[in-house]
Amino acid sequence: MLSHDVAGSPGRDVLASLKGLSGKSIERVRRRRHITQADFARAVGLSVRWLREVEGGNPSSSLEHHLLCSQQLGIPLGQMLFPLLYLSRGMTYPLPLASLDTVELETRFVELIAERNSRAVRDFLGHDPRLSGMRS
Amino acid sequence: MAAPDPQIRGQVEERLATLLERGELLPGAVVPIAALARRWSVSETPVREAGWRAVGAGLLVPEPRGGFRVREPDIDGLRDLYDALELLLVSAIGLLPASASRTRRAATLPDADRGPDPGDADAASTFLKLARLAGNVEFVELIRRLGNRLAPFRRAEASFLADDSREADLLMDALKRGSRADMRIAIRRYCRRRRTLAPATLGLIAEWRRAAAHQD
Repeated sequence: MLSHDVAGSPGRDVLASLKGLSGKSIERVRRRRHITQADFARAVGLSVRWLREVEGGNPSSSLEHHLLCSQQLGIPLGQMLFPLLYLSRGMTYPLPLASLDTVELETRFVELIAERNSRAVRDFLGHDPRLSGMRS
Repeated sequence: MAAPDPQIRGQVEERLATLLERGELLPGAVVPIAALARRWSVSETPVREAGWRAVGAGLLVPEPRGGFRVREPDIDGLRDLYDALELLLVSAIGLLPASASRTRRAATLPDADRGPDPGDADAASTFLKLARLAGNVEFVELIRRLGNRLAPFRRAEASFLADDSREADLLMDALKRGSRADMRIAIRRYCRRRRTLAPATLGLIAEWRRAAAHQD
């Protein structure tokens, strides 16, 4: 199956779904690095109980704690950002992306924004193809 | 009438651009076409042609009864130019190589086109360096264009900002260290100060223009 309906029917809490995805990802990376919950909790300054809530994707866990844990493990922000984008638009997030490296997507995202900004400045300055003649 | 020699055309364009950059022709001043043609020993045609090109580049505006005037933005217009500069530079930071050490190495290479210039041209060349490091040709061209538009104002700003060379040094230093956060801070500060100064900058230029008109 290529996609998995994490958004569910409209009206379900977008943040709760996001925390579910994020918690799984945090737990997966922590385990892969053979870091115990106790050690990791100490490193990020959370109690073990709170870390369990984060990894379990408890809807009452704080998004800030999810970000903190992700950052500590070097999980790219895109892993939270892109699902959030899908979920907030009521779209199904294609799960294979979650296991993909989102760094490339993030880079392209940054490039797209830069491209958009340069177009805006070009429009603002007035386009002139002959301009290359001025002080080039 | 025969079209001017392309070489002459290029030279006249270059000279006109230099005049505008050095602020010899102040924003709001009328371009003295006949006098420039005499000074450069050319006919008025290539000067007018260069004028129209500078109109296309946003440096001059045509006068209703013929001729040109140096484009003079109002306070918001000048602030918009700094907004555009900040937008481009901050976007360029995002495009820098991911590895800080690569940015550091590239930033310490000398620029072929870095020459002595008036005002805080050091900041202008550091901006260009940043755009080049970002590896985006479009950014280099746009930052150069913005630099040309801002050139006359830089001279006026320099009379208010005693520490403007230090500002350029801070940015260059951040670039050499490959610190994106410090680059952002330096750029924001640079643009914010000049946006705040915009009324004073335009006031000083108007004063200079009046003094120049008295001399003529």
